[in-house]
Amino acid sequence: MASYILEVRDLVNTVSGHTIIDHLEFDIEEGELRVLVGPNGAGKTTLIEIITGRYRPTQGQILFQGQRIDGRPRHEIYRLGISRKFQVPTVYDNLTVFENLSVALRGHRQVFSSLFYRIDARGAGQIEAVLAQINLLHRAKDEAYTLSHGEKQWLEIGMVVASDPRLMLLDEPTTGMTREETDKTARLIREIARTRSVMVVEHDMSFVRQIANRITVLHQGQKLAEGSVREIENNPRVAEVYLGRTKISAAP
Amino acid sequence: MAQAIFTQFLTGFSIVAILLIISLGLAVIFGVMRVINMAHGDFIMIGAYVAFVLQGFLGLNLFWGIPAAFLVVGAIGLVVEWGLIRRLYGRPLETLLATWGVSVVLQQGIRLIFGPELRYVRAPLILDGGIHVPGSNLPFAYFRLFIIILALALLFITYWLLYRTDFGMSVRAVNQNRPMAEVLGIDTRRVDGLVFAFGSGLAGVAGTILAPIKTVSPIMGFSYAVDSYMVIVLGGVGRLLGTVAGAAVIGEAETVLAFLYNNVIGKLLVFTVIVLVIRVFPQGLFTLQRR
Amino acid sequence: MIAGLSRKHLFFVLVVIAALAAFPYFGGDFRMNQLGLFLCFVMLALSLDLIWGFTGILSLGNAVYFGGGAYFVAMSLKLKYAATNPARYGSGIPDFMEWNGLTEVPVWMRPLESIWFAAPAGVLAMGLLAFVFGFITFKRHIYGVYCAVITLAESVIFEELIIEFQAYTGGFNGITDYGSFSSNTTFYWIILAVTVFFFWLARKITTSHFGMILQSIRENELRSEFFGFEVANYKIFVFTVAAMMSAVAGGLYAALNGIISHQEIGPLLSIEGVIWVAVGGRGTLIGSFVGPILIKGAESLLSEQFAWMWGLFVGLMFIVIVVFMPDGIVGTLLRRARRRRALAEGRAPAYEPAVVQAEETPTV
Repeated sequence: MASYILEVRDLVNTVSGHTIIDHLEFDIEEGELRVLVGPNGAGKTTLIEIITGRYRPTQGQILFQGQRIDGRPRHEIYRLGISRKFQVPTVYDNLTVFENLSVALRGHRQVFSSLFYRIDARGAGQIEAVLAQINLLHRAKDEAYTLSHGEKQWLEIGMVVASDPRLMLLDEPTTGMTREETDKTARLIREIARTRSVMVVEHDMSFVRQIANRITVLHQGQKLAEGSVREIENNPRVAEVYLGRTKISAAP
Repeated sequence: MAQAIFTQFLTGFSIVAILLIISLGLAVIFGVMRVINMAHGDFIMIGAYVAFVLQGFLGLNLFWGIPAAFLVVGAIGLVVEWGLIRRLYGRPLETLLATWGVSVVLQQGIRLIFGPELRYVRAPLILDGGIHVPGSNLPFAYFRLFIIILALALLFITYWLLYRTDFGMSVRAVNQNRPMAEVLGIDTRRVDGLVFAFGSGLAGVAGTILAPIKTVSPIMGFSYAVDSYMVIVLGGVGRLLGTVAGAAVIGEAETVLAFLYNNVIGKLLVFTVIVLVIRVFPQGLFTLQRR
Repeated sequence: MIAGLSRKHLFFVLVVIAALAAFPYFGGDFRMNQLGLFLCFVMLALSLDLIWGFTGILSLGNAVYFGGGAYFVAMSLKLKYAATNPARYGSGIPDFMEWNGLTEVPVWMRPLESIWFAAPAGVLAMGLLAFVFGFITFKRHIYGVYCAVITLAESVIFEELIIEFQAYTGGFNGITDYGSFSSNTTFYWIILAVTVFFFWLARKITTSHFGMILQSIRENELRSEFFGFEVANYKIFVFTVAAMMSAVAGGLYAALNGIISHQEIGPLLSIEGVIWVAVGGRGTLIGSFVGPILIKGAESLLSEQFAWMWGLFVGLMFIVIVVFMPDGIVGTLLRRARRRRALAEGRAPAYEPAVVQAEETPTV
């Protein structure tokens, strides 16, 4: 019997009269690479906000490796092993690529421990490994604001990798990417997912097809359907919700 | 003693009115543009000097000062927004600092033109005297009554502008969701400019009305500015009700506490209360609901 | 974003320190005293650079800690002076106490008679004050414009409190006439030594991993929160350290200047400090030396002739710096140097520099 890394039980989130998450039930198995899709407003990002501790749910529970995490402070949830990439690439503009990753590197979160720490050879080695993975070795000494949009996305993904979580939450990692960049990202994510659990929120169905084993479709805060790529693509209710929209990628 | 406190409470109304008048302009600007204008107090100061010039050189009384100050300071606001604020779009701390520079420039400019001496502006003769309110032990000055009426008038005008005109609708749209407003075709930069001009004009009007209360000098604006910031921090952003609430709480509390203890202790206590309230409501007492 | 300290740089720093140490021999007493005061301002600017330049906390009220430290020292020196100068102070207590009807030094003020108690007490008291303020403000994610405005109000209130309780503080005139260490070369060297020490400390802090995290908070506080950092703790720590640094600077200032008043505690000095750091260069450390020396130096040299327009000039210059040179003098030079090095190494930066800034309070 597989163990679950994430369990969402009867989750409800209501904000000023609007129900954004509506009695959602949802599980991710240990080691899985799950993709979450759904039209805008379906509640995907809100779900991530609740999991990572930004919002407290109105009702329901979230379990991480069997422990309840809903309502816990953000830094605690991080330290338990959950790390996220924001929907809009969020990096430290005036720090170099290397420095960005060194901040994200797991460990030394307390004030006094960080005061007496400097990046050692081991840390630098880990950072270089990530740089190689995300293809930004040649940009290590550049400030992050000089990166292109796609490169910033990779940097943030790299930061999440450097933070070495058990569960990685990636919110729209390919927005604004070219076709080749998207393909590279697909390979990157598949590689990352070999050693940890990953949940990806996405719109670009061709990208989704490249990476997904299981897809969960969210609609109006509820789980509409769940299954393999083929099952979802042949699901009439899903097609209805997307209303004849052919699965066009969100990339330009 | 009860009568004395009641009298203070009544006086407090005019203090609330003053706070409202000086804060309204800033509240509108901050609500839409999320910008703290450090020159706000100096806009007020210029409004006072407009009244001084009108009275001293043209023999016109305070009532003429009101529209004149609105236009003069509104124009200055337009120039500041177009020349400066616009360039710092999306950088609120930078804008705060840059407007401090504007504040210094305005103060020094006025000082060069008029000198650093204190100036006096007289309230219109028609407002001399006071009315006796049962239960209080001092007459309630007509001038204070005038201030209260004007505060309500300005509040009403602002409300009408924001909620009953097309322009106001654009303003509120930008306030609630700037990117969406842009997508819907609203020229948000133009809205910013007009809002800043309007808020500045209101500051100018405040300065004219308040000129008879305090002596007029190049540095008179600073304390007004700090008061208005506190009203906004406490009252919240984006809703007129918040500004009224902030002014009401601070105005009454300061007046009564100043009477019971003294001015400075009163301010300290009110400041402490504000900081504690902010802990519970980091966005102020009344805010827009946001997703 | 931190300048590496190569052999060449270290040599340059030592030359500057040597020049400053030798200054009394060719500058004369008056200028030496001035420079001593300026170095106190440099320390104030340094503390502001730590919290604003590196962490993104814009405080418009940090003079409270500077002035607080100053008042502790000034009061101590005054009590000692009054007690040991019967010719001037017949009853042995400070003049402002006598004017306000006190007949003897209040019991709770007695410990201040010893400078060895008063000076450290001042620093610790300011540290505690900053800690409490930081705890109240930062734990609730109040930052950006809101924080700036609240710190401004705080400094206004403290200034008024100082003026109000004149029996204990000397009121509007402040504490005067307590002897001073002016024209004392040794004391000047002490100030210089403390300044150098604080720069060394600041560099140690900012080049550690802790310093990197501070900068990440400045760049994007939210991102750091979701990488497991308790941002409030970092802010509180650096804010407290900065306050204590300012308090030491204030104490030295009081001892050198011979007079202290509400001006050293109020919003005007606070904002002046911000201007120094903005002009010198945020987040550069060196900028906090360049800024005050340049501006205060220019003021003292030029304002005799141009007093009438000096204020106007500062205001305009500040606007220009904020809009066109947000990195300040040193910051802009450093950025250009980095660009040149990147081009030389074949890495061409493609986009416009992002301004060092912090965001306003988000919806929590």
